[in-house]
Amino acid sequence: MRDLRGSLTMLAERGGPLTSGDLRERVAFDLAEVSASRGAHVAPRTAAMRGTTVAIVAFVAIVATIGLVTWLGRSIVTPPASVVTTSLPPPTLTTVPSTTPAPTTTIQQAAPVLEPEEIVYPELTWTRIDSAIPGSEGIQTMGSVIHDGARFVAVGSEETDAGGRAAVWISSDGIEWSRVDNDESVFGGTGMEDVVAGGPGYVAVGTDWSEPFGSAHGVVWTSVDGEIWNRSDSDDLESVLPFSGVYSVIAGGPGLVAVGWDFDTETFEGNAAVWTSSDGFSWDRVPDPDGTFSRALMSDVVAYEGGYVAVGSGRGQLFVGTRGCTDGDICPAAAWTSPDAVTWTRIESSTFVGGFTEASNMSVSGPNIVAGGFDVGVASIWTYDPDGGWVRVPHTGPLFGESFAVDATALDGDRAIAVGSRGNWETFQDDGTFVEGDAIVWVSADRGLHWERADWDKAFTTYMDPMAVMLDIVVVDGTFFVVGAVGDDEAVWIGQWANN
Amino acid sequence: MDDALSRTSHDEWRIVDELFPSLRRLAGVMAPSDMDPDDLLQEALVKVLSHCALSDLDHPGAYLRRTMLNLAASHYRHMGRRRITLTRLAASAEQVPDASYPSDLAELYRLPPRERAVLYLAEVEGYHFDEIAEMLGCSQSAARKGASRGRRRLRLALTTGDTG
Repeated sequence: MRDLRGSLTMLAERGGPLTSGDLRERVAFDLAEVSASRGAHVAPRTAAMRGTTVAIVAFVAIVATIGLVTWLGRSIVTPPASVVTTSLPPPTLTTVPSTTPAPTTTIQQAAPVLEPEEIVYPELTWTRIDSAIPGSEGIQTMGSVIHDGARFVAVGSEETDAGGRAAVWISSDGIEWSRVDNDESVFGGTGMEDVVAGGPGYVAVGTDWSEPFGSAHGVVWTSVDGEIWNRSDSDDLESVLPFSGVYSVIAGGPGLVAVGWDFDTETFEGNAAVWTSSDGFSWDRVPDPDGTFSRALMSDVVAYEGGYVAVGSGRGQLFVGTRGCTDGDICPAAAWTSPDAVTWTRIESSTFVGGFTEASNMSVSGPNIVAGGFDVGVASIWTYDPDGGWVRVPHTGPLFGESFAVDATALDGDRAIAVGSRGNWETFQDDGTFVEGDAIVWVSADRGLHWERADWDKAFTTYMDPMAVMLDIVVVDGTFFVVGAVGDDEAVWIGQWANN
Repeated sequence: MDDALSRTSHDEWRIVDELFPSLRRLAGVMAPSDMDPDDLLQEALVKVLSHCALSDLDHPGAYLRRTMLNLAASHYRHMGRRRITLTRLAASAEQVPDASYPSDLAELYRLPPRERAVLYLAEVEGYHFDEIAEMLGCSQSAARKGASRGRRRLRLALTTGDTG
């Protein structure tokens, strides 16, 4: 017999055998760290961190020492951003041209690496489209956006009292948006994760949760014009998209490549998964005979230098805290490469190691990749180029303080931006309330190797709203179109280089 | 700003001890499925104590509850695209030890933390909405609406029985 009180009581009683004394010890330890680290961001230890506290403290001490020297050096020689952006032109860090055009299958030569003190960080001006888009009634989130040369198409989800549904928005200019009419038979009970121009016109991927647990499966939608969508979850498709999350889809391979994960309901372990399609209607699951995808999750995939790169996390299970990445576990970020979207190799890199780390999104410009993600709830950025391999941007100074994750990145030539949202840490207000989750923007002038946090902008928050999240970026002619949500409504931000 | 370590006096711990049972239960209700309730309580305590002493607050329990709610709500929204997946999986995993355990958890986890907290405080703890509003730092109207909205969201999945 189901009853509300019983279920609520079960929730209230979950958790480990924590006593008041245990809590005292944990809090005292954290307060000691806070006291020792005033002026720098200190996140509280979570269950995922406790098992490796000693190692982390030692590592942080070393990194902080190195990073402090670097940061101090930059602080001394780099003028404040406000001065830089109002008086100096944007940086002109150009790629060194190769004397012989490189064949498409080889790596281009990377631009020279600048010393931190040589970097002049660019600044952007931001505008937020505030008005709620007609046709929305619940809590809307734009999660992904593309521009195919003719129009913008954004996809996401809407949660209402009646349940969740996928949602699609379109725009010709990125400023005026309209919501595609809801059709419960197409969008009901689902959420869209990503969209791409391909197949008959557009293809979106996501998950159907409308059936009882155990029957949830990946869903593919197709559309000729972006306005009328068809849902493709026939029995044949369901057989290759079983209990799955499909997070990213791109044009590539035989036509389309999608990545995500598949959950084994018997072992409660998740495995990364790749699907390919020639037309968006019929899909094949890429086999994994060598276990390359085992105990992992793929969050994003990009085409790169004639092949493909995917990133994600090496988690075995998909929980933080009481399950999955718990004490003593190593849950590193992960990356894979493939020449053809069918044969994949997992990349080992010391830069991926962390207590619970995930690279969740990527952007590419020439030979450079920028990947955003998090490390135990703190924003993190990795870069890749053929010369330097994978490099992680150090967590030094205030760069990543008060931030949960980098949710999207975009490269515009040598310049790059990353977006995410601010956490509550250190944002207490005098009246006891928080300024929750302002959006955060970081900028880079050297292909993501070095970053600066952009000055707070009124477009990043509204005091009364509970949260502003930026979730995806598309660059059109040097202008950044960012989608996400503010409060209960979908939101679009437009960013332009201040001195372009 | 005072040194956070100075706020670990006996008086502070006495307040924590008194509030611990009720705060821990509420943390279990508020915490999203992928967040350890103990971590939520710990984080809220550290956050408050790093800024002020509990003994300086008129209502330390309300302050801590509000802090936990803000932290949980922020985490809930931030998870965004992963939230539905995680809540379904967590609910399923919870069912493993006891096959008869109600699958209501999946639906409960999909509610925003504030709605879960309001429902718990009203349905299980038996508080009136004016008391809940004070405990969670919201208006009485908002507490009522939260409970009403939570029930509506659950109506298709729950047999409410005598819960009204």
